[in-house]
Amino acid sequence: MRRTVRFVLVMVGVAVMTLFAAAVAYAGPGDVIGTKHNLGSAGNPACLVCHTPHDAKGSYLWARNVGSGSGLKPLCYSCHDGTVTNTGSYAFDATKYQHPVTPGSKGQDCDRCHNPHSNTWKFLTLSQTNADLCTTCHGKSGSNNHPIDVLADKWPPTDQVWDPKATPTPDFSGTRLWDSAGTTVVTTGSGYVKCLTCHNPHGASTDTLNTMPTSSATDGSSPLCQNCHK
Amino acid sequence: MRILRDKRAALLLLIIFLGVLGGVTYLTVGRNLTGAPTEEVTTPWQEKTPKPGEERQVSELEVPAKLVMHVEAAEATGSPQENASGGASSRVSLNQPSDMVSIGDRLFVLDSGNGRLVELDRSGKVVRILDGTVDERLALHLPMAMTAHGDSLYVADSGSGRVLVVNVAGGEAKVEKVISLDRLQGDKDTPRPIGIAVNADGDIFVSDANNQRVLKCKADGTVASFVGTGKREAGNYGLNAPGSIALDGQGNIYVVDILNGRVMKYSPDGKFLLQIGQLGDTVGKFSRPKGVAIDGQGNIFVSDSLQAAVQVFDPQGKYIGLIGRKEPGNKDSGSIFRAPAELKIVDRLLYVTDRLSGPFIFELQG
Repeated sequence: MRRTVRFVLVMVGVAVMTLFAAAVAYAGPGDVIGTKHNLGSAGNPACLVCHTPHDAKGSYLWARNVGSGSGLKPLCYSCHDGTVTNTGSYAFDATKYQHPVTPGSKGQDCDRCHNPHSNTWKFLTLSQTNADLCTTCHGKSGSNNHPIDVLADKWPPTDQVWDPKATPTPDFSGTRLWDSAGTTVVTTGSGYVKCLTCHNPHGASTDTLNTMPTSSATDGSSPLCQNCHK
Repeated sequence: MRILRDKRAALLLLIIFLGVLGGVTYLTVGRNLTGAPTEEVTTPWQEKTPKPGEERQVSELEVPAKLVMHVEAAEATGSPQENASGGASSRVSLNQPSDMVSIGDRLFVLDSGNGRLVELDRSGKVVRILDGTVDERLALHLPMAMTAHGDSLYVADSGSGRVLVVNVAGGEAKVEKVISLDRLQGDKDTPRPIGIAVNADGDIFVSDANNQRVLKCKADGTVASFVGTGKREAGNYGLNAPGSIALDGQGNIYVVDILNGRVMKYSPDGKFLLQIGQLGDTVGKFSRPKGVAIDGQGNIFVSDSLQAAVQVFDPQGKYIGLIGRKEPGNKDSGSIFRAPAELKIVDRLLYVTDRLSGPFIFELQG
């Protein structure tokens, strides 16, 4: 009898732990109230900013407009175009390279990396905006690739700033160093080289999403490599 | 539970149980995180089933307009490498243009993604670029709106919280005035003007999207709140992301209240007169409306992000029809717009600045 009881308790314990892990990983829609997307006011629910509960077609309850094909871009761009907010409009800039998405495919569109209901990570991403987010899909770390998570003391970059919010002119060229917490840009010599030191999913200058060109149109130099390896 | 005396059987049972649990969790919770099959594009112009004897559904009404000019913006013209050649080359790409105005025969476009003004001829060709090399004050910061008054352009330089007055008479471009919008007492942020209009007296109305108000900058230099409470609100005097502003022949002020999905009309002294539209995704309703313009008869034109169309209302706010279908009359034919924003109407011409598709000019008929 005791063995049975113990067995049942173990099963229940495992079940609870699994469901708890799932719950933590999945941000509920109501979590939007704690985020920057809480744009409602008393009597005007934040949900209605993006969703229409009736007469809608489409799984997000926001009938996609037919103008730009399909997908989340019309929804996200209609606020992140410089009107409702002036953050992030460079992610829709057709003169720069952007991380590929599959419009209209759930989980493969902007929501491949972003979750508008979640406030856990910066930029409303699905995981921390350092190698954690990139390595969800890309496995380019390890001894056969450019070392990351290394201190950059030996080769500090000349151009250390990549800042789309820089005034007067946004700065879309340069490498960035990240400290070991992965979230703070370090502008003096030391820091840890991460994915975002050379790449950026939005507003990049090459089709491999580098923040600076890797080759030159006139000679054999490499602006990106030589920014650190002079 | 005799079976559990055998340890191997117990282990097998545990594995099966976990498998079932995992499957159930995936189906209910995890499915939302992983991919699902692509869904088809559908039209948002929906009709309810008409009751017997009901009039013809309004969504079939198309406001007749003839396209007379269109310039493709960067979105559609090629790879980022090709698009980025926005200098003095003959093929200049507009990057997310936000507004356009006409002064006489001349046409100016606010090329916001490139931070500059561009002059086009009536066929859409770029004839002049007005940027930071002409005058360093013309290096603009995501400017969202502009209007014309006399021979001058009034540019809402949103990212710097300023209004620039640029005189373009005689082929020159002179920055006449730079108005820095100061934060009103009690407001949290510096103003971010995303809509602008100028009345006959030279007073400037700007929409401040950081503080949810419309500011009135009088010709004598005083700046005061015209409407809005400073917080995201609704009601007759509350706004939530106020955007484009237009004036009618009587000097009434129309403000697009973007996140409340409506357009609000006020008298020149700030009294609420009319609400046009409401939040919704069927014709006659709005979901993130962007631009507003009034024609000679007082009809109200409003561009909508969800509908990807320009919706038209009569002076009392009753929905008349829309402009924007590829095949007028065929509600399933898709939209010619991608992200229609600011509107201007001068005489019979409707100017639509589509952020991603570029500027359109229509001739309104009938």
